[in-house]
Amino acid sequence: MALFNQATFHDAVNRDGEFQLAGRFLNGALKLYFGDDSMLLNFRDGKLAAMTAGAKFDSADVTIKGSIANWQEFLKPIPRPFFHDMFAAIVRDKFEWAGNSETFFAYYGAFRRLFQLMRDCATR
Amino acid sequence: MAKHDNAVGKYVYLTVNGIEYRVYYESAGEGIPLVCQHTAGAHGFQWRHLLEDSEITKRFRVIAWDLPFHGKSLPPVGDAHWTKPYNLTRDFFLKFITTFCAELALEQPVFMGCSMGGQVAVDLAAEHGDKFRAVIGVESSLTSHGYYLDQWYHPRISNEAKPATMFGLCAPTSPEKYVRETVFGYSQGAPMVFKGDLYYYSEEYDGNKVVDKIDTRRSPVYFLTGEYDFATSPDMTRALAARIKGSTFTEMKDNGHFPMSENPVKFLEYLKPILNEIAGR
Repeated sequence: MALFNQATFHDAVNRDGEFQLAGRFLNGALKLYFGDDSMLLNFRDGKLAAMTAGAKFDSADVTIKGSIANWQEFLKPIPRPFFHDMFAAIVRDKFEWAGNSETFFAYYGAFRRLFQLMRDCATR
Repeated sequence: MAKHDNAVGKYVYLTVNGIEYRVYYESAGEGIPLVCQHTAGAHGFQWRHLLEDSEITKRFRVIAWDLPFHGKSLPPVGDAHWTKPYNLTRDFFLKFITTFCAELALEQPVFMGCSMGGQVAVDLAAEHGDKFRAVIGVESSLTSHGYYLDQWYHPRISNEAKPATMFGLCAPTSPEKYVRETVFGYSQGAPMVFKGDLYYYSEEYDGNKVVDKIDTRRSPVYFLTGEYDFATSPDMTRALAARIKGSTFTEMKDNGHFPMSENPVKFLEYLKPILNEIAGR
């Protein structure tokens, strides 16, 4: 079962005012690993242009990896401490990130909002 | 009739290490002085709910300052600060707080600080415990290494990055309106200040070196930490409190790293019993 409703999520991101502001001028790709499976999110001019299943040799500006169990906890409405925010979860070794530091920090506000919208679209 | 808050703002001139600073502070109430230190990269707005709580201000004179370089306390005009990195040092921090209290003739004030203010609470209890009626450390720990990082002050990363990461220090159960206010406060800081404050918080502060000097019979020490604080977890404060005989520690549910501003109602539920105890001594 998918962890979140992808179509609803995609639509929610592109309709969200806060994401539009925080993600302005964002061009690039975010790759998310849910256990062994991955998803590639491509952004063009601040919009989520495409969301596709990840492939082995995809390149991404930022990659975030977590186990299925950790994503399930992260996507709860009120997660346990240190699963409540991606930066908190990374600092506390619940998730790993790799890639371009400048993009990660410059757009952390956009990514944070993206994950909140994902949480809102989580399947329960 | 205009609606006003009770807090009144003033400027005081303080000289620390030979340099004069024009320092902004707000105060409200009467009675036992309760001086409040904000977190790194922020300013005194974080204590506004305390300043407006009549149950507290009827017995305590609450005072919240903006450290130099923060909020309305501008950099000193008598120093070429633009020619050198801004780094908050332990020496300056301790002298600033004790000078402020002395210049305002505050008699045996209570000190309360959060985050870097929580760490300096430990240093104050160790080095100047005789000057304070009690010390309250909010989000304190033995150490907080690893946060003095270039990304907090980098020309290619805007002032939006710091506030964005502050969301993660807040609890998901804190009211959104106050989380947003807390995060907004971080967007107001001058670019170099947050990283510079972390010089004390992350590089210089080491509670291991000073806890043995603390005598809680002379000045009681209280610790409060929010359950969602990933920078200073409740377990980290528990470890600190275990090293200070006679200190007390309470984990605050539904709060994070900025309890006084992100979830003030919950924070005051934990703080008021401590203030009652201090007032009753």
